[in-house]
Amino acid sequence: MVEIVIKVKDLIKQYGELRAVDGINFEVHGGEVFSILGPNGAGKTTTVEMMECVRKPTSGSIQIMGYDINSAERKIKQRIGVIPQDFSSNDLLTVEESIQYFSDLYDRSVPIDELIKAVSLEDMRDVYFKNLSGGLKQRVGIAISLVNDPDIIFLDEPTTGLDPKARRDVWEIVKSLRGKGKTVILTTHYMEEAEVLSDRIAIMNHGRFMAYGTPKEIIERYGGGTTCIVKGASAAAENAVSSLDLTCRVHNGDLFVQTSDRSVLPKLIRALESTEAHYDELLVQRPTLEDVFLRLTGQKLEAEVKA
Amino acid sequence: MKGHPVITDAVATLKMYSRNRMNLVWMAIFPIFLIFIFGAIFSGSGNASYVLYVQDHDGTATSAQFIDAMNQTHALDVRIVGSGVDASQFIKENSITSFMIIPKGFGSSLSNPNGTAAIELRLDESSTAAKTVQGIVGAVANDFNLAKAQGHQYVVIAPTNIVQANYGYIDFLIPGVIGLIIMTNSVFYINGIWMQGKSNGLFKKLVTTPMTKGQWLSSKIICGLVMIFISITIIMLAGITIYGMKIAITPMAVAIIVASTALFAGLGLLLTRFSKSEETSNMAISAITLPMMFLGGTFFPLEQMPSYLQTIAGVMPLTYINNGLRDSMIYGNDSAALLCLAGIVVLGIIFFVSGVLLSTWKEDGE
Repeated sequence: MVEIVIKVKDLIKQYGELRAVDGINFEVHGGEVFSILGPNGAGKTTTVEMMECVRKPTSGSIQIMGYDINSAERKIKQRIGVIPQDFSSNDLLTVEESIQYFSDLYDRSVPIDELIKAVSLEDMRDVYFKNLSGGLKQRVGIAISLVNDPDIIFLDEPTTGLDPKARRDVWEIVKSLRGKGKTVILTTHYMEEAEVLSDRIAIMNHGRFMAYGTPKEIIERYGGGTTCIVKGASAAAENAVSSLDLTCRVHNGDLFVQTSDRSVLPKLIRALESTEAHYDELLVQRPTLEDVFLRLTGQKLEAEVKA
Repeated sequence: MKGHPVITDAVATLKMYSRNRMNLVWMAIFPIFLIFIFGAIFSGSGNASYVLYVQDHDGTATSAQFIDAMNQTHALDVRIVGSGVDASQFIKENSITSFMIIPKGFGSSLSNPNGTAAIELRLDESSTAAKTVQGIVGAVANDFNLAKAQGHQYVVIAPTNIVQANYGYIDFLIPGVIGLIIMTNSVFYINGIWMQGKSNGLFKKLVTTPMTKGQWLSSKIICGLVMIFISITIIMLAGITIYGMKIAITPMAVAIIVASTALFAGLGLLLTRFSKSEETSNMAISAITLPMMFLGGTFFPLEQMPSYLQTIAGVMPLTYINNGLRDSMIYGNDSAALLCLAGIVVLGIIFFVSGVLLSTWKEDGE
């Protein structure tokens, strides 16, 4: 039986006229990586900050390991670990001192050496926090989030601003946390990150969950099916495809056919071969989370992030 | 073995403070600077006196005697201007504020038993020194008249110090400087470190830990006290070695210092609620601390101020701190100091609690 470690019901957060979180419901299973994916301003951080007991919901309820956030804040904080967005530690403490400092704030703790080893910072233990690179600071942040041996770890956009190498280092650490049976709540606006790391995903926009499930479920349900691309399609090829009564569009001389019917592809190949129509190549593309996001919101997530 | 979060945070804070060399330099320099400047201004040491330009048209032994009498006061720095100089032009060109003209015939008038000699004293009434110069010259003239009339002094004044005979202005000043150090160090320190924690993201992490704002503030009060006691030690050493200060820190003074630090730390935290940025925060602090610095009896007794300002000073925490410190350190009156301490403790609790309740680690809507 699946253990429910987080239960969120009808959650609303209102800031004046702005409804940052608009009546969301979800559950998180023990030992899974659950990602909330969405653009800036979608309500991701507000949602996790309410789960971390940092903000009070306007209405609705949140239970963390059976504790209500309104009545058991201290107990919950003892059992969760958090890396907030734009995390920072004390500048003039060394890596080891920083981890020790946060460790001493909790009732239970993990040996400091074990944490330093877990994030591969053995050579940096005596370096001041302010002298670390962004990637190393984030690794210290992860170590700090584990000082109390938490059951649930919240990582709020942990790889934003990191170079590809540092980003993949963080991914490895997240994978190892899942390997140890920890529950991880990850917010991100990187599609690939969510897809690689997550057991389940919620796509969030304008304070609401647009889709919710495993990456595969979401893609199958909202991806709009497979796209066949006939590159360099001639007029004869276009006619051959049109004869199959399929919805297609032409863009820059390429023909795009989108379908969720698996039998279409062999039919398409047969039609192109029988008419001997000219084309350069035939590609088959599975939908991605980016496609799902585009279909659900009408906007590109990565483009928005870059902007 | 785990320590209490307050101790953990205090140790880490002091460790970081000691690693910032500029912090240490300013912590040592600021009190010395204060004591040196204000001690020099108000203690009367050195050759401080009011400059008085004198033009002697008489040139007799009597006028010379009068000028010498003024010199003997050591409160006036008499500078002779030649009798051929145009007085008005000289005053204008040199921005003179005090100018005396002894007229021709001054000596001969006084040799006549019923004669009267008028001395012209031109003063810049906008200058704060003018009244003092007038008073000194008046006193010299009275003594001169008394001597000429061979009169008898029926009333003489014998001033004695109501505390200990050897206490001076520096002993009055030092408790005020201690009060000032407590106020500025605590308010600016707490406010600054709060703004820094908010802007650099540290509070985003701290708010997710079991540490409370009350524990955080308590830790910073401990750190503030350590820094304040270091500053006070420097002040006391400077006071004793440079100015021969006689007063000492008493147990009651220590209690007042501890309670005052908590009071101003709470006030510093409370002010963060009403200022979004470091700039507006500094302005808010200055608007509150500067009036207290001048009206709270730091540099001169409250009795020297107009009555309405004394009323305002009566509601300022720094007034009670300065009065309490002086009651205990100068007058040895611990029962009076205890009343001040009680007021400081009550205000301290109010500021601490309201600071913790009203300040926020994180703004809603950020």
